[in-house]
Amino acid sequence: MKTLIIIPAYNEAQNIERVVDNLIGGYPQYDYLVVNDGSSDNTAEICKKRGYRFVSHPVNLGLAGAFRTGMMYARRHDYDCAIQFDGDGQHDPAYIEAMIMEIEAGADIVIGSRFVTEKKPLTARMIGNNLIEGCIILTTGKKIKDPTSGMRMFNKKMIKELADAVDLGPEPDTMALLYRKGANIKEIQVKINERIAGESYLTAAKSLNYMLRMINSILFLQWFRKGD
Amino acid sequence: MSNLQIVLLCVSLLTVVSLMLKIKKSQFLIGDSIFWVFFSILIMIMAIFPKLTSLCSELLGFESPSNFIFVVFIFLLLVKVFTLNLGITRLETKLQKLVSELALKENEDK
Repeated sequence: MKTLIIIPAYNEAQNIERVVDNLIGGYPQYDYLVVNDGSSDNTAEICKKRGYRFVSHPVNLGLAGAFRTGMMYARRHDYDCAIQFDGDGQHDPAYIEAMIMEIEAGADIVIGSRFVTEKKPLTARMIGNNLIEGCIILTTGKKIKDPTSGMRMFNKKMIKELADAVDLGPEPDTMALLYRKGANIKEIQVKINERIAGESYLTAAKSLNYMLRMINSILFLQWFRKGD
Repeated sequence: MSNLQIVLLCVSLLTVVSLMLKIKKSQFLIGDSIFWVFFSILIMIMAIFPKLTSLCSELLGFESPSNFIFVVFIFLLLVKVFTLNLGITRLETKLQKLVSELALKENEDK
């Protein structure tokens, strides 16, 4: 399976070398692509200097835009599956092989989930996670144990869908919509590391806004969105 | 002529004058100006024919014509905000696509 690892990077100068070097050194069987999302630090310079495979947005689009550029790249270069991978080293590439096996077994989307066999801890963030899980059960009747996990792998069919779509970002509401449209979603247990350096896309202040957006999208707007 | 009529007339003339100035300097697309032309004509009608305004306001059950005028304005503004929002979404979608295309194209050229 031709596999692409998409690494959206916004001001990840402190992390990008560690993440990409780890991939190059330990996992040369996979291709990777850094999507530099208009970083204001020297993320682009580092990629250029080290000869990484990368594309650069001239302006900052946000995670959804970087994700979509990656999907467009995967589509044009005819990849069989593509995985969304954090630029800050939170995701462990050791799990990719197991995820590819699920895709080969017929899954459309494989989520690297923190809570397949592990129990969900009771923190503020996980209450939000539960709430989104509940909304997805309510609207699709199906259970995604870790809807907010950022580690997701997509097969060829999904790559096409995500590259062409206007408003399908790498978020739980997209999972719910694709689920309802008949996508086969699988979860495998992974361990996600804490950030070592740099700032997350999702700061604490944005969390409430994020929750409202997700609940609104999954519970109400989903029914009006284009389905098959 | 009541004070309200004078205010409405001034607003209408101001709208027309600013619109004309902007169009002259090509800072306004002709297509976008329809709303504002319509807007100023409506205000002018309200100013010149207060009887008509009162009649409409009574028919719709407003306590006073000024309330009716408020509601008409608010409604028009809401419509404008909604269509502006649509326009921004269109622009955003196009921008996202352009930025992605540009990034991918640069990569191919390398």
